[in-house]
Amino acid sequence: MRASCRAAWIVCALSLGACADPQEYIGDGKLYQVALTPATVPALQTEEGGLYIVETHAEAPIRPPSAAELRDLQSGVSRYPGLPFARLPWIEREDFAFLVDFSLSNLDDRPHDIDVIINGLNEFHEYVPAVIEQEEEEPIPLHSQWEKRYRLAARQRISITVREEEFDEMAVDLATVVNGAPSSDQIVYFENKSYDDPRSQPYIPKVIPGLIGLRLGIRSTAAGNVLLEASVRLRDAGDKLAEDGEPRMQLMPEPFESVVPET
Amino acid sequence: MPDARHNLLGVLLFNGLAAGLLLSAAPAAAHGLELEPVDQTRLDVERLPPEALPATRDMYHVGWHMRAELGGQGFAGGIGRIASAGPVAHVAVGYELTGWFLLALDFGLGMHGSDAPPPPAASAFQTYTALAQARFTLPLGLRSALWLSADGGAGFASGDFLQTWGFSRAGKIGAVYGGALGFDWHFLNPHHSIGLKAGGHLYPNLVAQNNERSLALEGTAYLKYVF
Repeated sequence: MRASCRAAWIVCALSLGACADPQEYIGDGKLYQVALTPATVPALQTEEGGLYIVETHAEAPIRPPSAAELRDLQSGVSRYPGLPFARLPWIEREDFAFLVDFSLSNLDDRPHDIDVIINGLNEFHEYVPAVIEQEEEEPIPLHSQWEKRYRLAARQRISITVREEEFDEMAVDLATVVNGAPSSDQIVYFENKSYDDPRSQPYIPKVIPGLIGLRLGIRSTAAGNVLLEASVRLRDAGDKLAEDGEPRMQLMPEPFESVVPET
Repeated sequence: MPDARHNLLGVLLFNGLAAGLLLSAAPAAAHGLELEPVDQTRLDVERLPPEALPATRDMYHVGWHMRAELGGQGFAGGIGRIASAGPVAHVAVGYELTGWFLLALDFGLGMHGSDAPPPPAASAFQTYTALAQARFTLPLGLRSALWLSADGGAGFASGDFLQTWGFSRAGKIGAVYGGALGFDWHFLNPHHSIGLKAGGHLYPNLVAQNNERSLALEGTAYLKYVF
Protein backbone atom coordinates (compact mmCIF):
# COMPACT_ATOMS: atom_id res chain seq x y z
CA MET A 1 0.00 0.00 0.00
CA ARG A 2 2.79 2.34 0.98
CA ALA A 3 4.65 1.45 -2.23
CA SER A 4 1.61 2.17 -4.38
CA CYS A 5 1.14 5.53 -2.64
CA ARG A 6 4.79 6.35 -3.24
CA ALA A 7 4.40 5.36 -6.89
CA ALA A 8 1.37 7.60 -7.18
CA TRP A 9 3.35 10.51 -5.71
CA ILE A 10 6.18 9.87 -8.13
CA VAL A 11 3.75 9.82 -11.06
CA CYS A 12 2.22 13.09 -9.85
CA ALA A 13 5.65 14.68 -9.43
CA LEU A 14 6.72 13.55 -12.90
CA SER A 15 3.48 14.85 -14.35
CA LEU A 16 4.03 18.22 -12.71
CA GLY A 17 7.59 18.19 -13.97
CA ALA A 18 6.36 17.50 -17.48
CA CYS A 19 3.94 20.40 -17.17
CA ALA A 20 6.79 22.64 -16.07
CA ASP A 21 8.72 21.89 -19.27
CA PRO A 22 6.21 22.11 -22.08
CA GLN A 23 7.25 20.81 -25.46
CA GLU A 24 7.88 23.23 -28.29
CA TYR A 25 7.89 22.55 -31.99
CA ILE A 26 11.14 23.63 -33.60
CA GLY A 27 11.83 24.81 -37.11
CA ASP A 28 10.76 27.88 -39.01
CA GLY A 29 7.73 26.26 -40.56
CA LYS A 30 7.36 23.83 -37.64
CA LEU A 31 7.21 21.05 -40.21
CA TYR A 32 9.95 19.23 -42.09
CA GLN A 33 9.38 17.57 -45.43
CA VAL A 34 11.56 15.46 -47.68
CA ALA A 35 10.43 13.67 -50.79
CA LEU A 36 11.73 10.97 -53.04
CA THR A 37 10.74 11.61 -56.63
CA PRO A 38 11.61 10.04 -59.98
CA ALA A 39 13.95 13.00 -60.48
CA THR A 40 15.92 12.31 -57.29
CA VAL A 41 19.57 11.68 -58.01
CA PRO A 42 20.93 8.58 -56.23
CA ALA A 43 23.36 9.28 -53.43
CA LEU A 44 25.39 6.32 -54.63
CA GLN A 45 25.13 4.52 -57.94
CA THR A 46 26.88 1.28 -58.86
CA GLU A 47 26.41 -1.09 -61.72
CA GLU A 48 24.33 -3.28 -59.44
CA GLY A 49 21.98 -0.56 -58.30
CA GLY A 50 21.52 2.84 -56.72
CA LEU A 51 20.97 4.09 -53.21
CA TYR A 52 18.63 7.01 -52.80
CA ILE A 53 18.89 9.12 -49.64
CA VAL A 54 17.06 12.38 -49.03
CA GLU A 55 17.52 14.09 -45.68
CA THR A 56 16.95 17.34 -43.85
CA HIS A 57 18.35 18.85 -40.68
CA ALA A 58 16.31 19.90 -37.67
CA GLU A 59 18.35 21.86 -35.17
CA ALA A 60 17.34 23.51 -31.94
CA PRO A 61 17.99 27.25 -31.62
CA ILE A 62 20.33 27.36 -28.63
CA ARG A 63 20.95 30.25 -26.30
CA PRO A 64 24.74 30.76 -26.13
CA PRO A 65 26.55 30.46 -22.78
CA SER A 66 27.87 33.60 -21.14
CA ALA A 67 31.62 34.20 -21.15
CA ALA A 68 31.85 32.97 -17.55
CA GLU A 69 29.83 29.85 -18.33
CA LEU A 70 32.03 29.14 -21.34
CA ARG A 71 35.15 29.49 -19.19
CA ASP A 72 33.70 27.01 -16.70
CA LEU A 73 33.02 24.56 -19.51
CA GLN A 74 36.57 24.90 -20.79
CA SER A 75 38.22 24.52 -17.41
CA GLY A 76 35.84 21.81 -16.22
CA VAL A 77 36.93 19.34 -18.88
CA SER A 78 40.13 18.66 -16.92
CA ARG A 79 38.05 16.89 -14.26
CA TYR A 80 37.22 14.14 -16.77
CA PRO A 81 40.44 12.95 -18.41
CA GLY A 82 40.06 11.28 -21.76
CA LEU A 83 36.85 12.94 -22.87
CA PRO A 84 36.58 13.13 -26.65
CA PHE A 85 35.61 16.83 -26.47
CA ALA A 86 37.74 19.95 -26.06
CA ARG A 87 35.39 21.34 -23.38
CA LEU A 88 32.39 20.21 -21.41
CA PRO A 89 29.16 20.36 -23.37
CA TRP A 90 26.87 23.34 -22.92
CA ILE A 91 23.88 21.14 -23.77
CA GLU A 92 23.90 18.22 -21.39
CA ARG A 93 22.05 14.98 -21.75
CA GLU A 94 19.15 16.07 -19.52
CA ASP A 95 18.72 19.52 -21.09
CA PHE A 96 16.82 18.67 -24.25
CA ALA A 97 14.37 15.86 -24.94
CA PHE A 98 13.36 15.40 -28.56
CA LEU A 99 10.24 13.76 -29.90
CA VAL A 100 9.44 13.28 -33.59
CA ASP A 101 6.10 12.56 -35.22
CA PHE A 102 6.31 11.64 -38.86
CA SER A 103 4.06 10.48 -41.64
CA LEU A 104 5.25 8.52 -44.60
CA SER A 105 3.12 8.61 -47.72
CA ASN A 106 3.40 6.51 -50.82
CA LEU A 107 2.01 8.61 -53.64
CA ASP A 108 2.47 5.90 -56.24
CA ASP A 109 0.10 3.19 -57.36
CA ARG A 110 2.67 0.52 -56.58
CA PRO A 111 4.24 -0.55 -53.28
CA HIS A 112 7.60 0.74 -52.02
CA ASP A 113 10.10 -0.41 -49.42
CA ILE A 114 11.28 2.72 -47.64
CA ASP A 115 13.67 3.17 -44.72
CA VAL A 116 13.08 6.12 -42.44
CA ILE A 117 16.44 7.13 -40.99
CA ILE A 118 17.30 9.51 -38.15
CA ASN A 119 20.77 10.45 -36.95
CA GLY A 120 21.68 12.74 -34.10
CA LEU A 121 24.09 15.58 -33.67
CA ASN A 122 25.50 17.13 -30.54
CA GLU A 123 27.66 20.22 -30.15
CA PHE A 124 30.75 18.38 -31.29
CA HIS A 125 29.78 15.58 -33.64
CA GLU A 126 27.17 14.47 -36.15
CA TYR A 127 26.69 10.80 -36.90
CA VAL A 128 27.00 9.83 -40.56
CA PRO A 129 26.45 6.17 -41.43
CA ALA A 130 28.89 4.91 -44.02
CA VAL A 131 27.94 2.97 -47.12
CA ILE A 132 29.83 -0.19 -48.01
CA GLU A 133 30.60 -0.63 -51.67
CA GLN A 134 31.61 -4.06 -52.89
CA GLU A 135 32.11 -5.37 -56.35
CA GLU A 136 29.11 -6.94 -57.99
CA GLU A 137 26.86 -6.04 -55.09
CA GLU A 138 24.43 -3.29 -54.39
CA PRO A 139 25.73 -0.61 -52.01
CA ILE A 140 25.09 -1.56 -48.36
CA PRO A 141 24.25 1.35 -46.06
CA LEU A 142 25.32 0.93 -42.45
CA HIS A 143 22.79 1.48 -39.72
CA SER A 144 21.50 4.87 -38.84
CA GLN A 145 21.01 5.71 -35.20
CA TRP A 146 17.30 5.18 -35.64
CA GLU A 147 15.95 3.43 -38.68
CA LYS A 148 13.00 1.32 -39.62
CA ARG A 149 11.89 -0.16 -42.90
CA TYR A 150 8.28 0.21 -43.98
CA ARG A 151 6.56 -1.58 -46.82
CA LEU A 152 4.04 0.92 -48.10
CA ALA A 153 1.17 -0.33 -50.19
CA ALA A 154 -0.02 1.78 -53.08
CA ARG A 155 -1.29 5.17 -51.84
CA GLN A 156 -0.72 4.16 -48.25
CA ARG A 157 0.09 6.65 -45.51
CA ILE A 158 1.41 5.72 -42.08
CA SER A 159 2.16 7.79 -38.98
CA ILE A 160 4.81 6.99 -36.38
CA THR A 161 6.18 8.66 -33.25
CA VAL A 162 9.82 8.39 -32.20
CA ARG A 163 9.91 8.82 -28.44
CA GLU A 164 12.18 10.77 -26.10
CA GLU A 165 13.94 7.70 -24.71
CA GLU A 166 14.93 6.66 -28.23
CA PHE A 167 16.64 10.01 -28.74
CA ASP A 168 18.30 9.69 -25.34
CA GLU A 169 19.78 6.38 -26.49
CA MET A 170 20.97 8.12 -29.64
CA ALA A 171 22.76 10.75 -27.52
CA VAL A 172 24.53 8.04 -25.52
CA ASP A 173 25.42 6.11 -28.66
CA LEU A 174 26.87 9.18 -30.37
CA ALA A 175 29.06 9.96 -27.36
CA THR A 176 30.11 6.29 -27.24
CA VAL A 177 31.12 5.95 -30.87
CA VAL A 178 33.26 9.07 -30.83
CA ASN A 179 34.90 7.79 -27.65
CA GLY A 180 36.65 5.01 -29.49
CA ALA A 181 34.14 2.16 -29.68
CA PRO A 182 35.60 -0.25 -32.25
CA SER A 183 32.33 -0.91 -34.11
CA SER A 184 30.06 2.07 -34.27
CA ASP A 185 27.56 0.15 -36.37
CA GLN A 186 27.14 -2.31 -33.53
CA ILE A 187 26.73 0.53 -31.00
CA VAL A 188 23.99 2.34 -32.91
CA TYR A 189 22.08 -0.77 -33.99
CA PHE A 190 18.61 -0.28 -32.59
CA GLU A 191 18.45 -3.56 -30.67
CA ASN A 192 21.69 -2.85 -28.79
CA LYS A 193 20.93 -0.72 -25.76
CA SER A 194 23.74 1.06 -23.98
CA TYR A 195 22.40 0.26 -20.51
CA ASP A 196 22.80 -3.50 -20.88
CA ASP A 197 25.27 -4.04 -23.71
CA PRO A 198 28.72 -4.97 -22.34
CA ARG A 199 30.28 -4.13 -25.70
CA SER A 200 29.16 -0.53 -25.37
CA GLN A 201 29.64 0.17 -21.69
CA PRO A 202 33.47 0.45 -21.59
CA TYR A 203 33.27 3.26 -24.15
CA ILE A 204 30.48 5.31 -22.66
CA PRO A 205 32.14 8.55 -21.55
CA LYS A 206 31.61 10.07 -18.10
CA VAL A 207 30.01 13.11 -19.67
CA ILE A 208 27.40 12.68 -22.39
CA PRO A 209 26.49 15.70 -24.50
CA GLY A 210 22.82 16.14 -25.26
CA LEU A 211 21.55 16.15 -28.80
CA ILE A 212 21.13 19.60 -30.29
CA GLY A 213 19.39 18.39 -33.42
CA LEU A 214 18.88 15.58 -35.81
CA ARG A 215 19.02 14.66 -39.44
CA LEU A 216 16.02 12.76 -40.69
CA GLY A 217 15.14 11.40 -44.05
CA ILE A 218 14.23 8.44 -46.21
CA ARG A 219 16.39 5.86 -47.93
CA SER A 220 15.49 3.50 -50.72
CA THR A 221 17.06 1.41 -53.41
CA ALA A 222 14.49 2.54 -55.95
CA ALA A 223 13.13 5.91 -56.95
CA GLY A 224 9.45 6.71 -56.59
CA ASN A 225 7.05 9.24 -55.22
CA VAL A 226 7.32 9.02 -51.46
CA LEU A 227 6.85 11.88 -49.01
CA LEU A 228 8.10 12.15 -45.44
CA GLU A 229 6.55 14.86 -43.26
CA ALA A 230 7.74 15.32 -39.71
CA SER A 231 7.37 17.60 -36.75
CA VAL A 232 10.06 17.84 -34.10
CA ARG A 233 9.11 18.61 -30.53
CA LEU A 234 11.60 19.61 -27.89
CA ARG A 235 11.28 19.71 -24.11
CA ASP A 236 13.66 22.36 -22.85
CA ALA A 237 14.37 21.12 -19.33
CA GLY A 238 17.62 23.08 -19.14
CA ASP A 239 16.10 26.38 -20.27
CA LYS A 240 18.71 26.72 -22.99
CA LEU A 241 16.45 27.27 -25.98
CA ALA A 242 16.83 30.69 -27.60
CA GLU A 243 13.67 32.75 -27.73
CA ASP A 244 12.66 34.62 -30.87
CA GLY A 245 15.07 37.50 -31.40
CA GLU A 246 17.66 36.18 -28.98
CA PRO A 247 21.20 35.45 -30.24
CA ARG A 248 21.80 31.83 -31.16
CA MET A 249 24.84 29.69 -30.52
CA GLN A 250 26.72 28.95 -33.73
CA LEU A 251 27.83 25.32 -33.79
CA MET A 252 29.61 23.28 -36.43
CA PRO A 253 29.45 19.63 -35.40
CA GLU A 254 32.10 17.51 -37.05
CA PRO A 255 30.73 14.62 -39.16
CA PHE A 256 31.60 11.26 -37.65
CA GLU A 257 31.37 8.46 -40.17
CA SER A 258 30.55 5.03 -38.80
CA VAL A 259 33.46 2.69 -38.24
CA VAL A 260 33.33 -1.03 -38.96
CA PRO A 261 36.23 -3.24 -37.84
CA GLU A 262 38.09 -5.10 -40.56
CA THR A 263 37.10 -8.74 -40.75
CA MET B 1 -66.73 9.35 49.22
CA PRO B 2 -63.64 11.32 48.23
CA ASP B 3 -64.83 11.18 44.56
CA ALA B 4 -68.13 12.88 45.50
CA ARG B 5 -66.18 15.68 47.24
CA HIS B 6 -64.03 16.24 44.16
CA ASN B 7 -67.07 16.49 41.88
CA LEU B 8 -68.71 19.05 44.11
CA LEU B 9 -65.55 21.16 44.19
CA GLY B 10 -65.33 21.11 40.37
CA VAL B 11 -68.91 22.27 39.92
CA LEU B 12 -68.41 25.14 42.34
CA LEU B 13 -65.22 26.26 40.56
CA PHE B 14 -66.87 26.23 37.11
CA ASN B 15 -69.85 28.22 38.31
CA GLY B 16 -67.55 30.79 39.89
CA LEU B 17 -65.60 31.34 36.66
CA ALA B 18 -68.77 31.74 34.60
CA ALA B 19 -70.14 34.31 36.98
CA GLY B 20 -66.88 36.28 36.83
CA LEU B 21 -66.96 36.42 33.01
CA LEU B 22 -70.53 37.66 32.94
CA LEU B 23 -69.72 40.39 35.42
CA SER B 24 -66.70 41.60 33.43
CA ALA B 25 -68.73 41.90 30.18
CA ALA B 26 -71.57 43.69 31.78
CA PRO B 27 -70.19 47.31 31.56
CA ALA B 28 -69.61 47.15 27.71
CA ALA B 29 -73.00 45.72 27.15
CA ALA B 30 -74.50 48.32 29.40
CA HIS B 31 -72.90 51.27 27.45
CA GLY B 32 -73.16 49.87 23.87
CA LEU B 33 -70.25 48.54 21.65
CA GLU B 34 -67.30 50.90 21.02
CA LEU B 35 -64.93 49.15 18.57
CA GLU B 36 -61.35 50.24 18.41
CA PRO B 37 -60.54 51.86 14.98
CA VAL B 38 -58.07 50.09 12.69
CA ASP B 39 -54.54 51.37 13.18
CA GLN B 40 -53.01 51.54 9.70
CA THR B 41 -49.52 51.89 11.11
CA ARG B 42 -49.46 48.54 12.80
CA LEU B 43 -48.42 45.30 11.20
CA ASP B 44 -50.68 42.93 12.99
CA VAL B 45 -51.00 39.80 10.99
CA GLU B 46 -54.77 39.87 11.33
CA ARG B 47 -54.89 43.16 9.50
CA LEU B 48 -52.71 42.35 6.48
CA PRO B 49 -54.48 42.47 3.13
CA PRO B 50 -55.98 39.08 2.27
CA GLU B 51 -53.97 38.86 -1.02
CA ALA B 52 -50.15 38.85 -1.17
CA LEU B 53 -48.40 41.56 -3.15
CA PRO B 54 -47.96 40.58 -6.82
CA ALA B 55 -44.31 39.80 -7.69
CA THR B 56 -42.75 41.90 -10.45
CA ARG B 57 -39.32 42.02 -12.09
CA ASP B 58 -38.74 45.27 -10.24
CA MET B 59 -38.24 43.20 -7.09
CA TYR B 60 -35.14 41.52 -8.53
CA HIS B 61 -31.83 42.98 -7.51
CA VAL B 62 -29.98 45.13 -10.01
CA GLY B 63 -26.29 46.05 -9.75
CA TRP B 64 -23.06 44.14 -9.42
CA HIS B 65 -23.29 40.54 -10.47
CA MET B 66 -21.25 37.44 -11.22
CA ARG B 67 -21.89 34.74 -13.78
CA ALA B 68 -20.40 31.28 -14.26
CA GLU B 69 -20.89 29.35 -17.49
CA LEU B 70 -20.10 25.85 -18.64
CA GLY B 71 -20.72 24.35 -22.06
CA GLY B 72 -19.17 23.32 -25.33
CA GLN B 73 -17.34 25.14 -28.10
CA GLY B 74 -16.38 24.25 -31.63
CA PHE B 75 -14.87 26.14 -34.54
CA ALA B 76 -16.20 26.66 -38.02
CA GLY B 77 -13.60 27.30 -40.70
CA GLY B 78 -9.92 27.92 -39.95
CA ILE B 79 -8.81 25.80 -37.03
CA GLY B 80 -12.20 24.08 -37.11
CA ARG B 81 -10.76 21.91 -39.87
CA ILE B 82 -8.14 20.41 -37.55
CA ALA B 83 -9.62 20.89 -34.06
CA SER B 84 -12.47 19.02 -32.43
CA ALA B 85 -15.15 20.57 -30.26
CA GLY B 86 -14.41 20.76 -26.57
CA PRO B 87 -15.58 22.12 -23.24
CA VAL B 88 -15.66 25.84 -22.56
CA ALA B 89 -16.04 27.75 -19.31
CA HIS B 90 -16.59 31.43 -18.57
CA VAL B 91 -16.51 33.60 -15.48
CA ALA B 92 -17.95 37.09 -15.80
CA VAL B 93 -18.23 40.07 -13.51
CA GLY B 94 -20.41 43.02 -14.38
CA TYR B 95 -22.78 45.75 -13.40
CA GLU B 96 -26.44 46.03 -14.33
CA LEU B 97 -27.18 49.66 -14.98
CA THR B 98 -30.88 48.91 -15.36
CA GLY B 99 -33.02 45.85 -15.51
CA TRP B 100 -32.55 45.73 -19.27
CA PHE B 101 -28.90 46.71 -19.77
CA LEU B 102 -25.68 45.53 -18.24
CA LEU B 103 -21.95 45.73 -18.85
CA ALA B 104 -19.64 42.85 -17.98
CA LEU B 105 -16.10 41.57 -18.31
CA ASP B 106 -16.01 37.91 -19.35
CA PHE B 107 -13.02 35.56 -19.07
CA GLY B 108 -13.26 32.35 -21.11
CA LEU B 109 -11.28 29.13 -21.40
CA GLY B 110 -11.88 26.58 -24.14
CA MET B 111 -10.11 23.23 -24.46
CA HIS B 112 -9.79 21.44 -27.77
CA GLY B 113 -8.20 18.29 -29.08
CA SER B 114 -6.91 17.94 -32.59
CA ASP B 115 -8.35 15.60 -35.13
CA ALA B 116 -5.92 16.38 -37.91
CA PRO B 117 -3.79 13.77 -39.61
CA PRO B 118 -0.24 13.67 -38.20
CA PRO B 119 2.35 15.03 -38.14
CA PRO B 120 2.35 16.31 -35.53
CA ALA B 121 0.60 13.65 -33.51
CA ALA B 122 -2.78 14.42 -31.98
CA SER B 123 -2.51 17.11 -29.36
CA ALA B 124 -4.59 19.63 -27.45
CA PHE B 125 -4.67 23.38 -27.06
CA GLN B 126 -6.61 25.97 -25.14
CA THR B 127 -8.23 29.24 -26.14
CA TYR B 128 -8.21 32.11 -23.66
CA THR B 129 -10.44 35.15 -24.05
CA ALA B 130 -11.13 38.36 -22.14
CA LEU B 131 -14.20 40.11 -23.52
CA ALA B 132 -16.15 43.22 -22.66
CA GLN B 133 -19.89 42.65 -23.02
CA ALA B 134 -22.83 44.97 -23.48
CA ARG B 135 -26.06 43.06 -22.91
CA PHE B 136 -29.60 44.09 -23.65
CA THR B 137 -32.45 42.21 -21.97
CA LEU B 138 -36.01 41.82 -23.18
CA PRO B 139 -38.34 40.54 -20.43
CA LEU B 140 -40.87 37.98 -21.58
CA GLY B 141 -42.62 37.67 -18.25
CA LEU B 142 -42.03 37.63 -14.55
CA ARG B 143 -39.36 34.97 -14.67
CA SER B 144 -38.16 34.66 -18.25
CA ALA B 145 -36.26 37.02 -20.49
CA LEU B 146 -34.31 36.99 -23.72
CA TRP B 147 -31.04 38.84 -24.04
CA LEU B 148 -28.61 39.80 -26.72
CA SER B 149 -25.00 40.80 -26.14
CA ALA B 150 -22.27 42.39 -28.18
CA ASP B 151 -18.82 41.17 -27.18
CA GLY B 152 -15.35 42.45 -27.98
CA GLY B 153 -11.91 41.90 -26.55
CA ALA B 154 -8.80 39.82 -26.97
CA GLY B 155 -7.74 36.20 -26.96
CA PHE B 156 -5.13 33.70 -28.01
CA ALA B 157 -4.52 29.97 -28.36
CA SER B 158 -1.96 28.24 -26.19
CA GLY B 159 1.12 26.33 -27.27
CA ASP B 160 2.53 26.07 -30.76
CA PHE B 161 0.58 23.13 -32.12
CA LEU B 162 -1.54 25.33 -34.39
CA GLN B 163 1.57 26.95 -35.85
CA THR B 164 2.61 23.62 -37.32
CA TRP B 165 -0.58 23.79 -39.34
CA GLY B 166 0.18 27.25 -40.64
CA PHE B 167 -1.75 29.31 -38.08
CA SER B 168 1.36 31.37 -37.48
CA ARG B 169 -0.32 34.03 -35.31
CA ALA B 170 -2.18 31.60 -33.08
CA GLY B 171 0.06 32.10 -30.06
CA LYS B 172 -0.12 35.87 -30.19
CA ILE B 173 -2.81 37.91 -28.50
CA GLY B 174 -5.33 39.17 -31.02
CA ALA B 175 -8.78 40.64 -31.27
CA VAL B 176 -11.87 38.55 -30.63
CA TYR B 177 -15.36 39.82 -31.27
CA GLY B 178 -18.88 38.57 -31.76
CA GLY B 179 -22.13 38.23 -29.91
CA ALA B 180 -24.45 35.94 -28.05
CA LEU B 181 -28.13 35.28 -27.61
CA GLY B 182 -29.50 33.93 -24.37
CA PHE B 183 -32.55 32.87 -22.42
CA ASP B 184 -32.68 33.81 -18.75
CA TRP B 185 -34.90 32.19 -16.12
CA HIS B 186 -35.09 34.04 -12.81
CA PHE B 187 -35.78 32.27 -9.56
CA LEU B 188 -38.41 33.77 -7.24
CA ASN B 189 -35.53 35.23 -5.37
CA PRO B 190 -33.99 38.64 -5.92
CA HIS B 191 -30.46 37.31 -6.55
CA HIS B 192 -30.37 34.18 -8.68
CA SER B 193 -31.08 33.31 -12.26
CA ILE B 194 -30.02 30.55 -14.63
CA GLY B 195 -29.96 30.50 -18.39
CA LEU B 196 -28.77 29.21 -21.70
CA LYS B 197 -26.48 30.99 -24.12
CA ALA B 198 -25.53 30.50 -27.77
CA GLY B 199 -22.71 32.61 -29.09
CA GLY B 200 -20.40 33.13 -32.00
CA HIS B 201 -17.01 34.86 -31.90
CA LEU B 202 -14.55 35.55 -34.66
CA TYR B 203 -10.82 35.03 -34.03
CA PRO B 204 -9.01 37.01 -36.77
CA ASN B 205 -5.68 35.83 -35.33
CA LEU B 206 -6.51 32.20 -36.01
CA VAL B 207 -6.29 32.70 -39.74
CA ALA B 208 -5.21 29.89 -42.02
CA GLN B 209 -2.66 30.19 -44.78
CA ASN B 210 -5.53 30.46 -47.27
CA ASN B 211 -6.89 33.41 -45.21
CA GLU B 212 -9.79 31.39 -43.85
CA ARG B 213 -10.73 32.72 -40.43
CA SER B 214 -11.89 30.80 -37.40
CA LEU B 215 -15.38 31.31 -35.99
CA ALA B 216 -15.98 29.89 -32.53
CA LEU B 217 -19.51 28.65 -31.89
CA GLU B 218 -20.48 27.89 -28.35
CA GLY B 219 -23.44 26.86 -26.26
CA THR B 220 -23.39 27.18 -22.50
CA ALA B 221 -25.57 27.00 -19.42
CA TYR B 222 -25.01 29.61 -16.76
CA LEU B 223 -25.76 30.60 -13.20
CA LYS B 224 -25.97 34.29 -12.37
CA TYR B 225 -25.93 35.97 -8.99
CA VAL B 226 -26.79 39.62 -8.48
CA PHE B 227 -25.50 41.10 -5.23
